[in-house]
Formats: sequence, C-alpha cells, structure tokens
Amino acid sequence: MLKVLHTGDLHLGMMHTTRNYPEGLRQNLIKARLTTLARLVEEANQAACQLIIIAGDLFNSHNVPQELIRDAVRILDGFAGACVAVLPGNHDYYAELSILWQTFLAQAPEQIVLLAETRPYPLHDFGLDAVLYPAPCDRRHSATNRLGWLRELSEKPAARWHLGVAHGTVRGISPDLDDRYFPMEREELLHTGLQHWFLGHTHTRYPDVEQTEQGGFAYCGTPEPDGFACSHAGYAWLTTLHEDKVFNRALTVGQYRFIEKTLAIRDVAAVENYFAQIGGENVLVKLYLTGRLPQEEYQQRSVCLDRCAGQVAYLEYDDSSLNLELSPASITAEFPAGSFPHLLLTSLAEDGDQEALQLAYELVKKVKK
Amino acid sequence: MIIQAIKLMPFGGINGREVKFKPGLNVVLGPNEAGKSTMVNALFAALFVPTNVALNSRLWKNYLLPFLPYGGGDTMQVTVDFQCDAGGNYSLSRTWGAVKNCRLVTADGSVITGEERLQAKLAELLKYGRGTYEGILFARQEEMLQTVALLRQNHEAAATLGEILRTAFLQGGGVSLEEFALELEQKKKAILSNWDIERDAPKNNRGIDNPYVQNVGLLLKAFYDKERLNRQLQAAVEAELEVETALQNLETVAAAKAALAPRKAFLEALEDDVIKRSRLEPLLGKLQLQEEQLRVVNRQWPQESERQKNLQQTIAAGQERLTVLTAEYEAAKAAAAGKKLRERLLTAKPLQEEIGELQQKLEALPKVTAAEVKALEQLQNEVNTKETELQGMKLLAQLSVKTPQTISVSSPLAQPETAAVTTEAAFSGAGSLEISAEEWTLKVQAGQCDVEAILEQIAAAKALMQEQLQQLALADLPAVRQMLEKRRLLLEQMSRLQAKLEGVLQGSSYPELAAAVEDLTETMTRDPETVLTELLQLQADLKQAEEQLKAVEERLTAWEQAYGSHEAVMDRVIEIRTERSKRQQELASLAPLPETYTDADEFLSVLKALRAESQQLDKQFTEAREQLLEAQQKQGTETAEEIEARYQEAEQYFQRLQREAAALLKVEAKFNDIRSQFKQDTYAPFNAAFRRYLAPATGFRYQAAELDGALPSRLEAVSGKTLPVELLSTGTARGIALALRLAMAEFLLQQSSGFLVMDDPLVDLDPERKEHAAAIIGSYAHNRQVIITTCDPDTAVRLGGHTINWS
Repeated sequence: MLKVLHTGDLHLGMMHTTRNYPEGLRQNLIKARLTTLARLVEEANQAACQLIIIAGDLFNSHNVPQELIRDAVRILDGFAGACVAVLPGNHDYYAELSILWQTFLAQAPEQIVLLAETRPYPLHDFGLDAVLYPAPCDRRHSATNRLGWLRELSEKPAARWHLGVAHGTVRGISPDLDDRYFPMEREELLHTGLQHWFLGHTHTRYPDVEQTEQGGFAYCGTPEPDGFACSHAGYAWLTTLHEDKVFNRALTVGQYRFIEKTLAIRDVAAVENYFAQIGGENVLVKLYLTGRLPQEEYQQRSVCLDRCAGQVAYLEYDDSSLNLELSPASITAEFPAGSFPHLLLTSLAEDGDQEALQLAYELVKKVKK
Repeated sequence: MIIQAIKLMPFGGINGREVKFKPGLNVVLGPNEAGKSTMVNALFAALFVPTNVALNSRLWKNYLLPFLPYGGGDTMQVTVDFQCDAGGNYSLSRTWGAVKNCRLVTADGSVITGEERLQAKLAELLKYGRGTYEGILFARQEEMLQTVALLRQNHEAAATLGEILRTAFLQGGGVSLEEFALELEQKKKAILSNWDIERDAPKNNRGIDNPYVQNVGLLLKAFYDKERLNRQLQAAVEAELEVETALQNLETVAAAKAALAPRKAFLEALEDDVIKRSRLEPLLGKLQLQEEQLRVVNRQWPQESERQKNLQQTIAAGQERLTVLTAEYEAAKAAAAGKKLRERLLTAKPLQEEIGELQQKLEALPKVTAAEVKALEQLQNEVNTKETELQGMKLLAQLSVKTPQTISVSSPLAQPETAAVTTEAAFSGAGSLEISAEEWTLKVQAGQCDVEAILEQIAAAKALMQEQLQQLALADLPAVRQMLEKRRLLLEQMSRLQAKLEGVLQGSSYPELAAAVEDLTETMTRDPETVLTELLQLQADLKQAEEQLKAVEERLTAWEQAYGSHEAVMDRVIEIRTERSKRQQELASLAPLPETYTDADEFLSVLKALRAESQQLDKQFTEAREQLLEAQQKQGTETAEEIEARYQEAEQYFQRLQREAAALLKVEAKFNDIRSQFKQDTYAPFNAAFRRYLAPATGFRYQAAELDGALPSRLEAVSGKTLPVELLSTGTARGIALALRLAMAEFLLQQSSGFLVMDDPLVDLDPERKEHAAAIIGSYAHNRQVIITTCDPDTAVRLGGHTINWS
C-alpha cells in the first residue's frame, strides 16, 4: 500500500487583484495559499502519507518573491513522509535556468524531488518501491502534452508502483477550448500502463466526489480556491494505492470559500435566509439577484444586502436583474390614469422592456412629489 | 389661501373700515361709489404692491395713486389677514406714501418687516406671481370686458396657466415633466457623457491614447477601463511570452555551450603540440630544402668552373676572328667604293667632252647680248617712227606730158624709179617727192614739218644701227635676234649637261674624280655583305658567350661568398642533415594531429573558431540572462489569466452599462413622444372646463370654443356657427369673461382653496344669464373662496353665499 497526498495548483504568489477586494482581505487571501500548503503537509503527516505529489502550479508564476519560494520549501520540508514530488505546471513551467526553480532547488532538501525531466523518477532511494513518470510543463502554453516520451520508453524501471504525474487538460473533462494547456486524452493516459495518474491544472477536482475507487487518473483541484470560478471548498486527494485498487478520499483543506450565486427572490428575506446558510468570515460571495419585488421589498434591498455583507468576508452583488414588481395594474394603482408617469411606465411595460421600465420608474420616483 | 379680513386705514376714501370674509362665496353688496372697488384694489395692493414702489411705476399709478386718502394725507395703509393652505393664520400690513413699512405676522408668530423677505415669503404662500393674480384671480369691473384682450397681453398669467395645465395633465402622478426631463438628462449625462451613441464608441474616436479627462460618463469610463485592461492583458501576455522565450533562449544557448565545451577542451589539450608541430614541420621542410640546394651546389660547382674556362677560351678566339673580319669588311667596303668611282667617271667623261664642244661653239658666235638687241630695237623703232611720220606726209603728183618722156622719181622712203610716161602718170611720195626728167626736176616737199630733219634723224639712227651691226658682224636686227636665240639655246644645252655632270660628280670636280680613279689600286675582296653577316653573327655569339660567362662567374662568386669554397659546401650539408634528424625526433615526440585535420593550420583554425563560438555563446548567455531578468522585471505581479479575469469583469460591466444606456435612451424616446403628444393636448382639459362654464355663462347660446393657447379666439354657437370673440355682444363678452376666469381659476387653484376676486362680474348680463352665471359661480365657489362685489341686491340674492353689506 502506498499513501499519497495528491495536490497541486496552489498558485503561491497569486496576488488576488482580479477584484477590488479590500486590501486587508486581499492580503489574507494571499497568505491563505501558504497557510493551506502548511495544512496540506499537516494532513499528509496526520494521514501518514509516504509521498506528497504536487501536480503542477505550486507557484503562480516565475515572478514570485524569493522569500515565498523559501517559505514553500520550508513548509514542504516539514513533511514527515518519504518524499515530496513537485511537478512544474504551466504557470511555474520548468526552465533549467529560471530563477524560480534555481532558487527552489537551491533551497530544497533531498526529499523534495523536482520532476522537471521527461524520464522515470525511481523513488527507491526514498524507501518507496515506486517510480514516477512525469509530464512537466516547459512553457506557459502548448498544444502538445508531454506524455510522448512514455511511448518511446522501452523499459520501465522495476517497481511496485508506476505512477504518472501530469499537468494539463484532459479532453472532455477540463475545458481547453484552444488546446493551449498541454491537452491529454483520457485513453492516452489509460494506455500508458501506469497504475494511476496524478493530474493538476483544472481547479476543480475530478471525479467530483468525496471518495472514489475509480482509478486511472484524478484531478486534485486547487486546495485553496482562488476566485468565484472556483466555488468549492478547496480539496486534495488522499490517495491510497492498494494492490488491486486505488482509493481516493477527498480532504477539505481550503481556508476561503468563494460563492457565486444567482438568487431568484420574491422578497428580501430570501437573501437573508441564504446568507444565514452560507455566511462566514471566510466566505466571499458574488451574488446575482433576479426576480421582481414589491415596492417596499424593493426599497429594502440595499439595507438587506448591507446587512448580509456584514456576515461574509466579501460581498459583490449585481441587482440589475432584480426589478420592482411593475405591471400595468400596479402602475395604474400608483399613478392616475392619463398622467405622465402612468403613460410612460405603461408604455414601457407594454413593450416588455423590464430594464427600461425599471429605469423609468426609478427616475419617476426620484422626481415624484 | 383664504382671505379672512381686510382693513383699510386709510385707502382711497375709506379709512378704518374692516371687512371679514369667509371661505366659499363672499358677496360684497353696496351701492356704486361706495368703495367696493377700492377695497378690491386695496386687497391687491396689500398683496402685491411693495411699500417702496416707484412713483412713476404702473403699480403706483394703477393701484395707489387713485387711492391716496381723499381727505388729505400722504399715507395709505392696508392690513390683510389670511389663512394659508396649510392652515396657519397670517397678518399682512403695508403702508405706502410718506411712511413706508410692511409687516407680516406669520403663522408661528414671527414677524417679517423687511420688504424683500416679506415678498419672498408672500411669493411662497401665494404660489403664483402678481401677473397671474392680476390677470386671472383679480377681475376688476372695468377689466371684465377686456378679459381676453388683457390676458393676451399678460404673459405671466398665460404662462402660469400653461404650466398649471401641463402640470394638471401630467402631474396626476405628482411628477413634474420638467423635473423628470432634468433627471433624465442628468442620468444620461452621467452614463453617456462624451459617448457617441450612434457609433457606440467614444466621441471623436478619443480612445485610451487620447482620452477625455473631463465629462467622462460611466459608459466611457467603463470603456476606457476595459480597454486599459485589455492593453494590460496584451502586455502581460507578451511579457509572459517574453519570459518564456528568454528562458528558452537561455537554455538553447546553454545547450550549445555544453555541446561545444568537450570538443573545445579536446582540441585545447592538443593545442600546444599542434602549435609545436606547426613550427617544426616548416623548419624541417626548410632544412630539407637547404640540404637539397647544397647538394645541387656541390654538384654544379666544378661543372660551372669548367664551363667558365671554356667560355673564356671561346670568347678570346671569337675576339681574334672579329678583328680579322672587321679589317676584311673595311677592305671590301673600299673596293666597292672604287668601283663606283670608275663607273661615275665613265659616265662623266662624255658629258665633260660634250660640254667642251658646246663651249667652243658658243665662243665662235658673235657675242650678242640682250641689251644690244634691245638697243638695236630702239633704234629700229626710232627709224620706223620717223618713217611713219614721213608716210603721214604723203605727196601725190599727176604728171602730164605731151611727149613721152622718161621720168625719174625719187622719194625719201621709196626706191627711185624710172618710168616712161607717154601722156600722163601719177606719182606719190612721202615727205618729199622729186620728179625729174631730163630737163627738169621737180622737188616737192611737205610743208608740215622739217622733213629734212626727220630724214636726218632716220639716217642717223640707221647709221648707228649699221655701226652696231657691223660690230656684231651681223646684217640686220633679225640676224642679231637670231644670233641671240642661238646663243641662248647653246647655253641651255650646256647647262643641262653641266647639271647631269654635277650629279655624277657628286660634289667633286671632274678632274678630282679622274684623279681619284687614277689613284685607285685594284685588290680582290669578298662581298662586304657576306663579311658583315659573318661579322654580326660572330658578335652575337661573343655576346652570348660573355653573358653566359658572366652568369657562371656570378654563380661562382655567390657560392664563394655563401660557402667560401667548394669544400665548405659539403661541411654545411652534413650540418643540416644533423639538424634535420634532431628536429624529426622532436616532431615524432608530439601528439599526432587528429586525422580529421589535414594540418595544424586547419586544427588551429577550427580551435580558433570554436573559441570564438564559445565566446559568442558566453556573450549570448549573458545577454539571454539579462533578457530573462529584464523580461521578469517587466512582468507584473498579476498573471495574464488574472488580468483576463479582470478584463472579463470590466467587459461585463461595460455591457451592463450599454444595456442601461439603451434602456435610458428608450425611456428618453418614450418621454419625448409623450411630451410631444402632450404639447398638442395641453389645453384640452382646460377647453373642456371652459366649455363647461361657457354654455351657462352665455345663456346656453354658445357651447364650444377654439382656443389660441388658453384663450378663446372663436366661439361656436349651439347652431354650429362660429364667431370671433371680438364680434360678440357686451353681454356675451361678459359671460365669456366670467367663464374664462372661472375655468382658469379652477385650474390655478385646483390644489388649494385659493381666492378669486371679481368686481361685479354680472353687470350687463340679462336676468337669464345672471341666473346661469350665478349658478356657475356658486358651483365654482363650492370649495373655493370667491369674493364678488355687486351693487345689485338681486344679484347678491342670486349669488347667495356670505353677503357683506358695504355702505
């Protein structure tokens, strides 16, 4: 049996500038990525893993601070198991003379192995009867994956476990419209004859289940969500390789949770209820509100959202699709028939243009005495 | 506003009179000239004429001047108590004339005494301006008939009514059209400022390279933001690619360096030996060459010495032969010259002899010269001239004889002749004629000149000629001439021969030539040409032999200088052979040149190229590292993917604003439609109200009106006939004025209980119309205050309401 903590896509050094986060939160998001790495090592130690595999993109770019590289190495050095195998991903692609990897290698102890070359990496020296077969990225984008060398490999080194480590997309599983991210085929992976492929790149796990015995390959997903496109809790796989099967159990390790939610509401209480469910100091929410509200409810929405914002680390909302309940009947009820607002709003309501109707209504309300 | 009371203290002819009013209809009943109109004016003045009114103003003239206290005094004062729509009670007091003051006690008890502040407060409470009240809500008796005409001049009232009507039409929902338009415009400005809606792009194509910095609407700002992000994204993508490329470059260079290093090291290890080899091999070659050269010298030295001797002998023999041949050549040349002299003498001799003969002939002839011939010819000419002169003096003689006679005739120029004359004969002569017979002689001489003298001259000339001819031994002048020609021919012949002779003599004289031939000695020699040919050949041979000898001697001299002697050459050969052997051993001890190189030069050339390549790669490596560092420095902290995410957000926001802008424009279009439609229908509700009042006010004679703005221009009778308002009867005009004021007041005061003041509006109406008019006034006053004055008690009764007796 071989116990492996499978992670990747830490993106250390990501600056979280994609949104206008408050500066304090942004700094916390930056720090959280390193904290999560420490947690991964801790989880691996607790689970008595023999091997940690980081399947690419440990770093966000080549341009990360030296101190961060040293911190990362220091944290990985805290692994009590046999070996940490780090695969360069497309963000931290391998170049022999890159300052990133030179610094990393200069700092890394022997138990940290950089899978930079397309060759077998026997781990016998670390007391593991395993060989790693990496497909490291050597550039930012490529329409060709780095599995080719495996097909030409005449003989595999003797070992109990033959494990692949790759970074890139798998067609049909992870999106790659332009074939820019070292695309691999499912069959291509399965036909390598390796017992399991530890994959990185896609930030959501695959398969998206808490545990599975499905072998072949798995994406670990990012352990620390980095934006609203990544709405899970942050996972890693605890992979146990048995004689006859591969067992993956998900570890939830993320510190921050990003939630992008479209909420169709009929009253503001629905928003408050939702926040009551998801609220938390490490929760970031991007909320799209849709639906129609009666006037009183509609007027309360800002106050309500302000209240909800206090329950999470960050709230960004778009209520442009949330409209006041306006209909010819409600317009007639509010404005005398034949009056200007009545004529204007009724006409827009008849056109069915909710956005224009909403806008006109807001303007009318502003000047109404 | 409800007028509660008015106190005049004094105003016009009234002093200390107070009247109290109630909400609804108030009818002030009093006889003519009792001061009802004064009261109405006082009310207007208190509300609208400031205490500091200019004495030349219309207000002063219309509302105050006619109401100066009748009993004297220079001050007017009016106090009006009223209740505002909100319910508070106010008391307004104004004093004009010598004393000017104003005072407004407000609902909360505060007092305003400043005219400006008071006016401001009153404007707030009255809602409409003075013009509106003056034109519509205060109807003085004399103005009722001119209501339409006056309102046409009262723009404020018309405008206020227009606004009121618009508001009435549109503000059913409490929304001001103008305020909505303003809000819409502000919203539009906020979103679309400097945005070209039609092109959906910044105005004037001012993109992010030349952005607007002021009046940047939300849409434009969003556009700029996203475009800046797009540019940032492109830069980030390029920067990432640059880093990637720089890394690949660096690795390529490093790989090239690594590939080059072992080969360079291998060649460098051999370099010293190859350099030694490169020096030894040419040295050995040189030694070998030297040895070979010495061997040649050694072999040639005796041969050359022998050759030197032979050549020297050949040259000596040749020179001897040359002397002989030279002498022979000279002799041959002399013999040839003698032969030529003889030949010339043979040619010259007959010429010389012929010339001698001719000389003798010439000497035998008279020596006639050309001068002599000329002198003779002159003498002959003289004779001829004189004889001609005589010929000109011709004499003719006719002789008749009776007996034949022999007659002799002589004349100077003719031969004497003798003729036998039988009967007669004719004779002629020149100059003189002498005819003689035996018995007689007749001499006739021309008388023109001295014939004798001429004859003497002729004779003298002839004598001189004869003398000279005799000297020449020649007969006459032709003979002299012939002799001269003969001598000339002889001389010419001699001259030709002499020239020919001189050509043969070639400068010498014949005796000299003859002497030279005489001196010649006869010797037998070869042909000079043959001798010369041999001589030249010998000279050439000698020259060649001398050159050869010189070359041989130079070679031998050089060898002697180089080696000293023939023996020394062999010693030098041995020395070189020893040196070569030593160097060959040295060469054999060096590492062999790799087979791929033909010689050391090629080896060194390749090594040099490798070193240059290595240096170039080192340089490239440094540059590539610098490029990498530079590229990494260019990279921001954000990755292209992160910026792209921001860009997508910005794009979404921009699109959202576009949708909002589209919605806004749609609202604007709708609004404009409605406003435009409203402009056409503004006065429709007013017209309806006017029609409602019009029918009863005109005793149901008229039912509709065409409005020009808010004012009627034509009325439509029940019969359908229309008439211009100007042509209506006084009664009808008053009815229309009443209906118009009521309709207008209805719209003006629709939101308040306000007041309408009319000074005897029913005057001039017939009883029937009065009845109907009273009814509509009552109807109007149902929820509004109306103050009407009248002098007719019946009218007061008809009107009903709160009657105030004014006496």
